[in-house]
Amino acid sequence: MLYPSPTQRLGMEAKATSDAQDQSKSGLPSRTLWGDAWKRLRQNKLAIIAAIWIIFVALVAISADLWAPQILGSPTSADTTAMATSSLQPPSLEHPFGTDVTGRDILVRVIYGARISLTIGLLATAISTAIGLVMGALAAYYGGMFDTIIMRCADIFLAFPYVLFVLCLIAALGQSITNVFVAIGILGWPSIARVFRSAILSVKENDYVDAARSMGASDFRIVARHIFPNSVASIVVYATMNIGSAILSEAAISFLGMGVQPPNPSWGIMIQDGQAYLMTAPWLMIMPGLAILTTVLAFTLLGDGLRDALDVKMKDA
Amino acid sequence: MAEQNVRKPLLKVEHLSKEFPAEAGMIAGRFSKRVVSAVKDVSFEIYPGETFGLVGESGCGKSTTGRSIMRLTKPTEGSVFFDGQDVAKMSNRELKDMRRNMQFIFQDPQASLNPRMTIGEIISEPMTIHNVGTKEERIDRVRELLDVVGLNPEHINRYPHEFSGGQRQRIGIARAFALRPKLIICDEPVSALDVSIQAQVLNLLKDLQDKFGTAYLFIAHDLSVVQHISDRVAVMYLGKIVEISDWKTLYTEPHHPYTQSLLSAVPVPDPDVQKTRKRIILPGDPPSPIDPPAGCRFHTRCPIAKEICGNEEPKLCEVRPGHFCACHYATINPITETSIEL
Repeated sequence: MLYPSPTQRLGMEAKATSDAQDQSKSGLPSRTLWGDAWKRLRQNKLAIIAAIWIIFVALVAISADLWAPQILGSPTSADTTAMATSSLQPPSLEHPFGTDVTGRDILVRVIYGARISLTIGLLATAISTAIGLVMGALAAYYGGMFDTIIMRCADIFLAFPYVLFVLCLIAALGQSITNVFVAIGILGWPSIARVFRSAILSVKENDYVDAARSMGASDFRIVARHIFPNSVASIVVYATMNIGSAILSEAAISFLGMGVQPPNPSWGIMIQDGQAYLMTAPWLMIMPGLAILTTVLAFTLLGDGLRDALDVKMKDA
Repeated sequence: MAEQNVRKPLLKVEHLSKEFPAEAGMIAGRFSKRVVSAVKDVSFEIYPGETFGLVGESGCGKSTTGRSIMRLTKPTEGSVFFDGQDVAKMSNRELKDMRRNMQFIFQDPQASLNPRMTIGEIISEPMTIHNVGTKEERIDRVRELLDVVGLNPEHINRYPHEFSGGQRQRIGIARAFALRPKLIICDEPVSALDVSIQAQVLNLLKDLQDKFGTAYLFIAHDLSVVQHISDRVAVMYLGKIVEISDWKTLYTEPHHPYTQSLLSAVPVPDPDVQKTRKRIILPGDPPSPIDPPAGCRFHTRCPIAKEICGNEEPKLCEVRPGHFCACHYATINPITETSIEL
């Protein structure tokens, strides 16, 4: 062939660079699973935008105490003197997201609400992932009775209506923000345990696990080098997406009045406050709604991107 | 043969049996006494540097035999001696040392390579596990091995999915040879490959054997593949060895009716010869190993079976020096109406 097609030229270039890499450092560690995953993730624009958005929201929420109240006013205490003039104002330069019924700036409340929502998302997911990983691993590893008991427990957890179960748990534990984390976290484990268990079960059956055993590898090595790297991808993805659903759960719980208590802001409670003014002042609901939408969407897109990035079979590494 | 009998066997398998519970699950698995008799009373020896072929149709227990020798599954009965030591009685440490000298090549090269490890990591893994050499030495060795099995050493940092099936099997072979083992169990190493690639991989295995003096236990269901590589061949039927011999005798003078019918199914690449051959077609399917037939396990399908075959189990007897057959009517080409030319 006289003129190589563009894809062939690309292939040739890729080969040339990889050969150059091989020659420059002939060591084994020049390609690692996580290094490659990062390389692939960087090429996924949507996932990178999502990650930037999450980092941006997190930074704004963390640094809020330093600047937000000075510019936008307090997120909690209503300015009674200004109430008459600044109540239910539509978005403007002074109040970019508008104001609520007591004259508080919506933007500053969304910013402070992000603290609750992000903390809940991360903490609750951390709790359910930790429990889920241990339970899933035990069930898949030891099998038999262990498997049966753990998985039937998971079934029982999943059999109850989720929100109702969370509400009952909060009622039993006492109403506080920490208990909302704990309740959402504890109730999240069965699905993670199931995903991890099935991932391990399918990986365990592979010949390369037998191959490692036949070479004399220790149990620890088999788990760390063979089973874990091949089953962790599904968990990373699942946990990322779980953050989004934990945020939604908190919004639902707060909306029902069992979560964050007024005057503290959270995205769920703001939507609840705003529902009475849906027709007259829709920004009261729309703004925190948009915050939930974009953040949950960002976590979902990041999860998607991570799944692709952790798949070594995706070509352009 | 006489010389071989004087030599000490590298691997000695004695009365190996493996049964699996026929029913899984908490209750059925515990109380049911029904078992699948996958391997029954199998004995053979492998000498240093030779290739021992193990053939039989699928489900006859070839792979289970290989995996039991490697202790990937625990045999129900019998013992395996490697270099004079009983594998079943080994401590974990001794087992690890033994595994340095006994390696495994798997049937499916796709499944036997960890998709998240580079081939450099895969091939050096046995050396890493057994702490052989420094990191640099291991990398050099991997490059050398890649060269030996006919792959480009520059591809050391690629992942398994970037290779074709034949190349992947070469990676598996490089890994098996990394520690220069004394015995490699090849579990149908070419049956997942194209015929043209099969020949290449078989030749590679032969070359490597000449170079390193490794013994092979070569498991296959294809008689022509086994013929190509084996010194001695054992034929298995429904978990039992029915005939063992050096390959030439087995192919020209089979004593067991099952061996003979298997050989009659091997195609001959000469159409004139092929036309004159008559295939021995066995009636029915192999019986279920859950409830194997009494007496000779082959008697339900054997064209020359008599009453004794259903009552009494034939023992593996030496019909000639080095040639063993388990049949009450063991004679040369027992199914006489059919002549087989090879």
